[in-house]
Amino acid sequence: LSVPPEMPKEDGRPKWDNKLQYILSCIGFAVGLGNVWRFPYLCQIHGGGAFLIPYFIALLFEGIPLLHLELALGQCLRKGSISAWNSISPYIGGVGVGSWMVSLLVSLYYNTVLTWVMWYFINSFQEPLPWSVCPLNENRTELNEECYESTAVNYFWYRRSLNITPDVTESGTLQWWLILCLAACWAIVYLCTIRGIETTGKAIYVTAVFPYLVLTIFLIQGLTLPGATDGLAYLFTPNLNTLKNPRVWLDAATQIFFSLSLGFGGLIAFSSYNPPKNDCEKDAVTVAIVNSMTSLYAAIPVFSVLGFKATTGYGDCLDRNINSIINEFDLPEESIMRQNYTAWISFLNSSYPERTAGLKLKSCDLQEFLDQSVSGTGLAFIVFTQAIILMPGSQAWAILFFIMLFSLGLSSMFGNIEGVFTPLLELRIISKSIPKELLSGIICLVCFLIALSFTLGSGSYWIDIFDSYASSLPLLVIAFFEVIGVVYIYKIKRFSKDLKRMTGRKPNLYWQITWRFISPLLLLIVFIAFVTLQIQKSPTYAAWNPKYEGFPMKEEKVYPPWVLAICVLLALLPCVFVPLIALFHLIKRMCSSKDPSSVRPEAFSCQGANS
Amino acid sequence: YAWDAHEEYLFRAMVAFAMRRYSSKSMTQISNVLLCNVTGRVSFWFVVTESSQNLTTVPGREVEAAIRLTRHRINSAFLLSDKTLQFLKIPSTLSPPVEPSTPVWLIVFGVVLCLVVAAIVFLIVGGIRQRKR
Repeated sequence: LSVPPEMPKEDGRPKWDNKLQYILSCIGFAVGLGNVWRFPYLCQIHGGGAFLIPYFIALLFEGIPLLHLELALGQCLRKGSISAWNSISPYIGGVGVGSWMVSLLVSLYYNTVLTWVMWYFINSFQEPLPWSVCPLNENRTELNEECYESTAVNYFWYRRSLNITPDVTESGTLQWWLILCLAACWAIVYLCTIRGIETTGKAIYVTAVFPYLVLTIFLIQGLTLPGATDGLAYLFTPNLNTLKNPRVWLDAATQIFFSLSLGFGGLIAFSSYNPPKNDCEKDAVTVAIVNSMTSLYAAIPVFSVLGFKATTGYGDCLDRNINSIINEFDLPEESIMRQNYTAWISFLNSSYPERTAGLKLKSCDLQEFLDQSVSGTGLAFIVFTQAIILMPGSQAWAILFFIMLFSLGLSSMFGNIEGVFTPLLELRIISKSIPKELLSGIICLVCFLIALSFTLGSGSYWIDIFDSYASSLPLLVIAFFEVIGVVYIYKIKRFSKDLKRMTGRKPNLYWQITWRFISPLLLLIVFIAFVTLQIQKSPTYAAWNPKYEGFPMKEEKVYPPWVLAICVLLALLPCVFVPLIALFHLIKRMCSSKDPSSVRPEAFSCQGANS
Repeated sequence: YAWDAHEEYLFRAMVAFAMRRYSSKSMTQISNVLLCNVTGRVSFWFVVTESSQNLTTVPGREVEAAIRLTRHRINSAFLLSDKTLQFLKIPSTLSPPVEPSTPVWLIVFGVVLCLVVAAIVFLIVGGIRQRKR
């Protein structure tokens, strides 16, 4: 048995300039918009500080093991997701194709969210901010009706930015301003990923570090705002009763999972550019902990600002009531202040009940203002923008906020694009003569053209669909098969040996137990719970319809069947590759089982393992 | 500042001024403006009588139109605004929001796009040159 010659160390594969670029890229990929606008919301609705318990348990038993697995796999095999899984075993090559597909689908709609951020950013240079005033209607007699009934912030988001249609089936027209911003966003993504990690490695220094700077500035500003302590107390007060609800545990598990961006293939791509002897165990723990800490760190300014907004809203409500009372009872100015408001109300209710009731005073409750919890785009583009108007120096805060969101999203886009780019580079179909710049240009151009459909009037409904279906279920399936594939097909003993070669020590008991049993089991439970909940939930969406009677409340509409079919297709398309490719290879093997030269999968292993 | 008889006098003077500005009757005197029902809230009713006969009052519509014309001056005289000095049944005319001729966002967008395109061209040309070498 001849020993094959040792693989040359320099195999022409690009590598990171230094370890910091790699770590920052992984952190930037993991830390995204969800850390700012999903985690604080979950904390708030699931009992504040008590949510941290299931969150950290999920981190320990699901997040860190899976992260370590992906990083170690990429570093060991030194290939992108498709080729890596093909090398482990052709039967689970479908996992690689599935994650490539998910990365592609997510890249399409994620950049459109960044388009919205960019649109708000370039609108922040105006004085006054365009979302703070309502425009006049055509005859210039009154404020625009749609704006007057909802708020100026809502109007700017739904009409001036999205120009949203009342229904997902009405496509509306292409919004030219969004197309311009989309083109700019894809140009920026192309600029940063033009030569793969050579260019993203440089860009990541800015995009990964800048958000922390801005978060700190917002933290300092937020804590000085009046009402910040109310918001923070509301956020962090633990309510241990919520832990009895299984929904909370499911949300914690899914949040950890999606927050770490597992299953996209981007992490495998990043670590495949590492030198073989790199401590991926430490990297995995570092990235996971930094990601969770960032979520917590971001929750503080977000909730300070929300507390400030609630307090201001409460104060305005009180002032309006005081004004009506003073007008009605002809009391001198400043006789009723906020402090003695309740005393006055009880006095007036007892002495003049009919007149007081006739005023129709709205009950002002600070708790109610704090309870208005929003997540996602609503938090950034409606609630936060409204709070920014109230701060002194609003333009600067708006500009900072939207640049921060843009960098957060951009560093996640790098990971998504790498997940698409690296496997394509390694496919033999793409000949070596195509320069990297052209390939990344083609990817960006194709994605831009497809993403134009998200700039239609109904675009944001479609983005919600993509977000809920394309990037949730397939990832769970892919991650599950990743763990099964490594632990039971590649065999964990071989994997431990590879890890020992790379990091210098065998994975300890914690890794063994979580990889073998706990993580796959947890993923299975989460998957089943998730599917059950999705099926039980009726497929409705909230539409913005100015002609609805309950306007400005959103109208609950049901998805038409063809849209539902697309949802199911989006969820199934990446997953279906896993069994398809396994079946394909099985059939191929059965047809050519008489051919002795067919290579057994066991022969493939980590490069340089034959030492 | 406290509301006293002198402030009332100023108010009556402003209303008379408004009537003189508005209508051809330039003989309205301060004595033609009568205040009644003054409350501690500082709210009151007022009427303007014809200068010649002290018994008939000027129709409400004319007074409303006159005040509308000089609203800004009346506000400034008392250092108040449309919100703090309210005339019942006289809604304030809304000022249209300022709209610059070129939308500001287009300018910012143009700057950003030019920078990005310049950087892309620079990188592509650099890559081609490197390949030629």
